[in-house]
Amino acid sequence: MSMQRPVSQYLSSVALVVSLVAVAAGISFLTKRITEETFRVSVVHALSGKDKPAVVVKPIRPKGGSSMSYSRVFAVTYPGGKSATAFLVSVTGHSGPFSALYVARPGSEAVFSGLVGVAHPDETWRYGLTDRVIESWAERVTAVAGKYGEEK
Amino acid sequence: MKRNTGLFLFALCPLIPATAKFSYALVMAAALFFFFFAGLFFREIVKKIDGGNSGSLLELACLAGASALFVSVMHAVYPILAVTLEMYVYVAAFSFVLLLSVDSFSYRSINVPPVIAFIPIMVSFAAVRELIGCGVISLPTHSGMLEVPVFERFGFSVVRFWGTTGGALILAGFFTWLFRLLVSDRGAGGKQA
Repeated sequence: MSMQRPVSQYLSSVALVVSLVAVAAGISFLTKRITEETFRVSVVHALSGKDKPAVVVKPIRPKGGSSMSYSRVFAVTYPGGKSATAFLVSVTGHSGPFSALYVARPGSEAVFSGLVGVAHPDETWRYGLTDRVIESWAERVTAVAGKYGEEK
Repeated sequence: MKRNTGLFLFALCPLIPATAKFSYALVMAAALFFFFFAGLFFREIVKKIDGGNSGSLLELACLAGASALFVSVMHAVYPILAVTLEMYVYVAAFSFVLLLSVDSFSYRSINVPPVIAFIPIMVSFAAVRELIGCGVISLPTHSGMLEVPVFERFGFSVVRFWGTTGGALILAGFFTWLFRLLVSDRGAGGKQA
């Protein structure tokens, strides 16, 4: 004789999982603005500063079909009106993963613009990132950047 | 347990690159703590609603939800670190050491769950690895990580090797051998006495 479970048990199970996901989505929604602002400021800091032009950075929505690796995309506007697309990606070298910034101008290859969130953003050797790893990611970002064109 | 050692160690492999920095290890330690207590909480709820054969699947689904929740909080508190650690946090939620600890934990027993014993080992290993390999200690901040220099002269290539993933695996193997040697010597000494 098979024992059928009450519907309430199934509903409780579903409700538990759904509530967890809802709480996670809620936190993500509530903190979206501060998170985006932190990313924006970090990208501005990486691209601007001594001997570098001041830039205006704006987060943009990733294009459909991009993997999670390319989910942080920014529209960059330089003095004089030139624009580019910046990608914040996780690059893994000999010493583990680090956040790296790549900037791609329309029709050009992506260029590595430094690590984000570390004390020595231009000294990639300190963090186990070789030139080959940097170049490999530049090629990948160039392929993805082709979808974005010129963003304002 | 002996037959599962290989799976046990394999499940921990993603944590080697994730603990490249002391700041990463602190975040991963917080994640493992959260997942352990969340796992216990969901285990009790699943018992109460009598999940039956699908109870373990429900626990895993709840752990997935808990990992999504932790990542959401991590995005808010440490957004730059979240870019690099997001994947490893999701993987850690399903690591064998965590699931084993949740399943075998008993409120009547005084045994330390494996994940609770693993966390200080992971954090201290990351600290040693970063000190030897880079000469700094990093702390997580909202805009990335704060690197505090400790050994100014460390940074030349021979020493820097120990901060790489390969160096970490060699160090882990060496300390595992040393630990097992000490444990087997202590066991042999006890038997002779």
